[in-house]
Amino acid sequence: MKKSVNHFLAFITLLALPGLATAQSAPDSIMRSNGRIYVVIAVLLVILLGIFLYMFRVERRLKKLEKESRD
Amino acid sequence: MYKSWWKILCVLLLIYALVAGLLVKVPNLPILGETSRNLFYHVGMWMAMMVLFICSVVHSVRYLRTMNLKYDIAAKNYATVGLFFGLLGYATGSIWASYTWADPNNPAFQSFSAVAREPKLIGTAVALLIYFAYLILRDSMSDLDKRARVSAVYNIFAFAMLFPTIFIVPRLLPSLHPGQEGNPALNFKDVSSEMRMVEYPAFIGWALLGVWIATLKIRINLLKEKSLLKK
Repeated sequence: MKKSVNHFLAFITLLALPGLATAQSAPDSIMRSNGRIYVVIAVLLVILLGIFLYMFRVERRLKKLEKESRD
Repeated sequence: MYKSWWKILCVLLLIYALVAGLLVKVPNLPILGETSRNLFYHVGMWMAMMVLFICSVVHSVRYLRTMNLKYDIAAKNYATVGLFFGLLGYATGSIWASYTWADPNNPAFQSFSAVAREPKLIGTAVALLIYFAYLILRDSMSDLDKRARVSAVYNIFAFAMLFPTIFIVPRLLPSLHPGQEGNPALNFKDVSSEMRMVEYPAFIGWALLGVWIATLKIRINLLKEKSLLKK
């Protein structure tokens, strides 16, 4: 059941994501300097953070399994 | 699954994708500017998702042929990691769009409703929801063999639905995404040759990273279900 809740939350995130596209900032912001290269950096940060969070989740499952096998 | 040469290859390809991806000379296009470097990262997420979904459907077919539960575990984990990469592709795409299509300072400005009506966005959302339904369908059954069999069949249909939702329909409708006339990621004329030198290694690197994460999850699951699996 808890898993289904997780899936539901992920589904809500999915639907909300295009909403981020409305977040706009001033034309001279840092994101628009140097040919908007920082947009690429932001994309890379999102990917890295996402993968790290996911790996922590995988490790949590491994930890639980290790604990079970020890008991 | 247990060898390490392809993991080293994955690390090398991704280091190359990061360094060369930020240093390579990109053509200065009016709407994109330097953001066209996102081709190596944003599109790479979708490539990894496709590869993982293909792995998933292959393991579902293998499960139906052999009725060995280890293939069912593999299919499930490939699909989950594929979904995760799809979500990353969605998140990165919305950042990219907010500084290109949905940016009022940009000559190609589109209103938010035009961006949200983008067929590729809706198509991929549908495809990802079909895969979410796959995971929910799995959780809804407690009998192991029935769950494995039903979800393997569902997974094959979900994979078949990927093609109309993310490849065919978005190309029939007017779209903001490039590559209306062909295969956007694999077309030799769309991308400058310098970028192509980074594009393909980056795609392979991201796909290998996805497979790597998936195999870790599969190994954890195999350990967990050790008592159920026949040798």
